[in-house]
Amino acid sequence: MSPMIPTGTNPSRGRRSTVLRWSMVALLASIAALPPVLAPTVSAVTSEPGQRFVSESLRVLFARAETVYRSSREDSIEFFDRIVETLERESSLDDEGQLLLRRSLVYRTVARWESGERDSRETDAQLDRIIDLDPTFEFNNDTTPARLADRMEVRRERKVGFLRISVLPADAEVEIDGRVLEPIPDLLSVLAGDHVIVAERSGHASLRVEAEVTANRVEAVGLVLERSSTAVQIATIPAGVTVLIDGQPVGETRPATPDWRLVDTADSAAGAASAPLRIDGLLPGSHEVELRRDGYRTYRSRADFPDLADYSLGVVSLARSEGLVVLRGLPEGARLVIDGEQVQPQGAAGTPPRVTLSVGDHQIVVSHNSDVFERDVSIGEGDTLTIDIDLRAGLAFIGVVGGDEIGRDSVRGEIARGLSASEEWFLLDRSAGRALRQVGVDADMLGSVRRGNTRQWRGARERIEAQVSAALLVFAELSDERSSSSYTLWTWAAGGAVGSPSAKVLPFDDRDALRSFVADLDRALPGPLIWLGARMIDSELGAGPIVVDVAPNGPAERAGLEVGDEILTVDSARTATVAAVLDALDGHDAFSALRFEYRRGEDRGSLTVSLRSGPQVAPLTDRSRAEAVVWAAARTADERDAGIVPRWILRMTMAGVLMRAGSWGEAASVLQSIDAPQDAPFGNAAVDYWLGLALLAAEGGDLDAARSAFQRAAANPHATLFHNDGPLVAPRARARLAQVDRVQLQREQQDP
Amino acid sequence: MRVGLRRRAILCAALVSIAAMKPVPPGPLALRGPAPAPQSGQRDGAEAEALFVEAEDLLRAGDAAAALERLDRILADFPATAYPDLEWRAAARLRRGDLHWRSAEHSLAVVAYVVVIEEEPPSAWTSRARFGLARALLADEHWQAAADSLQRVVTAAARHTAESDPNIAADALRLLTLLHRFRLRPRLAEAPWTSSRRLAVSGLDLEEPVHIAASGDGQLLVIDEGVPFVALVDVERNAVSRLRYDDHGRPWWGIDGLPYLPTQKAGVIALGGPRVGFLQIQNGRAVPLKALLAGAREASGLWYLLDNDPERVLRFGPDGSFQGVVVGGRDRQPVDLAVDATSRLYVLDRRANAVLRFGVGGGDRAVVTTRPWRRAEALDVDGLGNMYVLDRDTRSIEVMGPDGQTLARLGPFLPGGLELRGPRDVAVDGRGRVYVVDRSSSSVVVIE
Repeated sequence: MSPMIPTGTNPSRGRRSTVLRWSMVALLASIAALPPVLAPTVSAVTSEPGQRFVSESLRVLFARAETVYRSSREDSIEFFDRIVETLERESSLDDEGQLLLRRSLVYRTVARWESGERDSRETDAQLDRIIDLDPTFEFNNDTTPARLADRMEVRRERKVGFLRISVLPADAEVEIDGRVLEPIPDLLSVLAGDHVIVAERSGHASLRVEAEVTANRVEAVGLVLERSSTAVQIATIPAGVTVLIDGQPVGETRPATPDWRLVDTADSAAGAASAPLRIDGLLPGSHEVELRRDGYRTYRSRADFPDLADYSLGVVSLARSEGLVVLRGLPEGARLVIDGEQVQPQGAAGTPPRVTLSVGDHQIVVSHNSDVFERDVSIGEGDTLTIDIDLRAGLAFIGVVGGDEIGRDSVRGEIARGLSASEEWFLLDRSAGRALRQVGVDADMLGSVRRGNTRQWRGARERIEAQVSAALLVFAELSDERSSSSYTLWTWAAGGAVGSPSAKVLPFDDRDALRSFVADLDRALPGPLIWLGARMIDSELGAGPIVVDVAPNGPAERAGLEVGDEILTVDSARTATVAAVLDALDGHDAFSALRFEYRRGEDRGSLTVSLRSGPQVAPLTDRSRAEAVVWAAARTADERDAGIVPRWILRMTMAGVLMRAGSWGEAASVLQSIDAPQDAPFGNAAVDYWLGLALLAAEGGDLDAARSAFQRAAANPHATLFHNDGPLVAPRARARLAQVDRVQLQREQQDP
Repeated sequence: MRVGLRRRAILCAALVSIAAMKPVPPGPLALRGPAPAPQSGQRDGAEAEALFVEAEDLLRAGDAAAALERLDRILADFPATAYPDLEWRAAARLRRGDLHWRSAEHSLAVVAYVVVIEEEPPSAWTSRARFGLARALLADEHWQAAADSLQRVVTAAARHTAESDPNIAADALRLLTLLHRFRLRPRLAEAPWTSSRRLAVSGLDLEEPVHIAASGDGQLLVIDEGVPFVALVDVERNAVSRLRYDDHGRPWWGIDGLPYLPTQKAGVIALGGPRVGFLQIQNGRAVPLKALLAGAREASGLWYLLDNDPERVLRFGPDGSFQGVVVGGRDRQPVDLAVDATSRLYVLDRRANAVLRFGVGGGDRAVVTTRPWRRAEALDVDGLGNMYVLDRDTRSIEVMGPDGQTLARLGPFLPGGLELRGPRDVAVDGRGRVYVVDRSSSSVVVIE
């Protein structure tokens, strides 16, 4: 047996509002999902200022009542009693409340009837109440007892009359008792009694009439509105345009969308016409029409409306207002993204690239390999804005973890300001995002990292890097202890070549410490070093350091310094020791010409040494610079291939970081890709030496290749490590050859 | 003869004064810095320090195997990946290198030193490794590379870098001076020594000086049998102490930085250290040594003593236990001995007119050189392994390189014009300055 649906709709009532229908769908869906449980107590409504809603508990109760109704009319009465009693106590109900009350009354009336409670007075009272709530209501004749349906018709004839409304102009809006009639039905069922009818239309005077309706009779109401002003209708592309008539704002065009869909005018499709905006209250004559919207050129026009009539200005399409941005220094192959979309710049050959942008605020992002540039610009109508593209390695500040919100906000601002002072790195402030929280970076994870366990960290790092693109990434960690006076800055290089992030503890509110951190970032790669080209020793037999070796073709040899010369002064400064000579050199740049006074046997003399410079690479034990920073700086510089530091030094630096991180195989690959100079003390022999180390240490490394590398390194007696005046390679290479033999012997013993 | 009460008092005064002016001997305790706080879940770095100190104690007691086990445990338990800043790992590697060196595994020693230099964080141990590397390079005659390594030690101390170690820097500077004298000057066709003079010592009048010993930094112990006394002369050439000494032994300066005196009945007295008595086994009986003439002590604590009755060289363990005869017999007449910086023993054999050299521990005897000396009287060795033999009858000193080749002959007429008239003993300090006691002229002659 199909469930009986005792509700019905009088076709004369017209459609319910769409909002109401959607509420009902939601209500039915929720009812179907609920178990048949009778709540012990229910309240009718929940209130918010100005609104009263049916409570969830009442909905549950109604669903339970319907379920019971299907199986036992008599048992369901108690449920509907309770619902009706609850709702009737309320002084006012929203649409859903009224619907719920009416349906409950219908269910209860049918249930009582079918349970034998057919007291005529009581039944009539219930039917009257139903009619009061909905004069158009009719029972479904297929599912309602015929006698009850007949009784309902009797009651309706006693309570309901009809209105036949006609209005001119026909598109005027008509309300009855405050309810809009849309459309106006041919015959409107209303309760017998007095009703107020109001008719309105733009450009016309409103009309209000009172109509007395008698039960079971039809009253005809004719409404003719009198024109009072000129009316204008206008639509725009896009919507959201403010319309001004004679300088006074008269309205804003709205998107032409279904009434149930809420759309912000700012988000409406730029190419779609708005819904027509009707403006009345105008006197006949000439008027200034102005249309305004940010980002569009203002439209102004004079229009003549000679009569008291309706006019239409049609659809007015606004043109975007624009400015020009010149991108000076934009390298070829760079990626230009404006407001999240990749853009191809224009510009004739020989002129700087340029883009045309609409008036308003825009974000311009340029990226080239690991270098980035980011700028927010504000464009005015007709502006030409020139931007110097300052591409630098990207440094992303991801955010702050730990502590409380106030602390995080405070530190975040301080760090962002501090990092923005970097001259080598371009700060990408992403600290307002949620990347850290999303990937689960917290005190526990960072504690594991500190203990050397980076398993969790690796996953988090990869997920962060998927969201934020930068060569170097930084975040701050606050201690949860209130007494803490410092925070930790964690830094890592994108790509994962360097295993663990580096941590540096900085005191709160210490800008000098932060400046020092930034200075360390900026000096990540050691610059060129001055080169003397002479090895000296201190000796208690002489008055100054003695030259024991000069580099072939080096500055000292070119100047004429010889083995055995005793250095007495450098630029007139007494130099009793090698350290004193180095001190004297320290303050000078490459290509400085320094006067050396010396003793050679019994003779004294002087000569001028023109210093030169050479590259340098940090020793493997150098922990003065964070490995992540060094790696990121070297890699980005390597990608640029146009920096001060030679490419082979950058790669050697990268290899050094990999060796410190224990990535021997990768280090060997990098070293094998290096083409180092052969005619300088510091060059290919040093690379061969490091290559030998990497091959020797790599698991299952090629010992023959390592031996060959060390043999090459040992072959040049003047070759140096780290820089041109660095320690000699050959003695160390010879020692490492012995190590190769030992490792080979161990392998043979393990695997004969 | 028993040491009288008054003499003991003088000795004590001497000990105090020596202790006050003695430079701090290089050692791990002098290098101990603040250890980084261990991270959660990590072992305390103090454990590594304790293991290292234990290994040092074991080395002093002569148990190299047990010491090696402690050192290896440091390397295994405190890897660089978890303890990147731990200095004791560098110390352990360095000591392993030293042990390889003592075992004549020179290539492995060099590897150990290079690893400390290249793979451990810079510390005072780095300077020590550079010094060890230089020593190994010198053994292979790569003197310029050795000089480079030594100079880095000196410069680090002068510039107060993380590697700075003033003690090892002083040693390095002395070795550099020797390299200047013996490698660079000959290359420039210059003589190693250019002058000589009689040493003027404030507060000391010599009558019949017969023996002399020099420390690396130039302190002297002079024995005069005329008064008789032994005098300690500081580097400023002040006699800082003088005490009665009427035995006939030769003093020596140990590589532990202490001056030693042999006595007829009281064993060996270390000024500033303990007195050690020695027993030898004769016919199954332990009897004290009664005619000690000279001695030396090497880095692991072994003693080499020259006994005059009969003439032989005996070896004793670090605890003073008799270990055996190194040189003896009818065809040998040892008259002096010395130990070089790498703990090799040198014995001057008058009967064979030879210098014998022994490997670390007293084994691997080799005759380095034989010469037609008329009366070989005294021997000393410098930091490069050069040998200085005094021929009493020709009043000259023959200087020979580690390979036995003659580098120079000094006397009887010295650079600068002085004449040796009755030389009785010779000593060389860390800079290569040669000191000769001239009994006939009642003076100490220094050749520079």
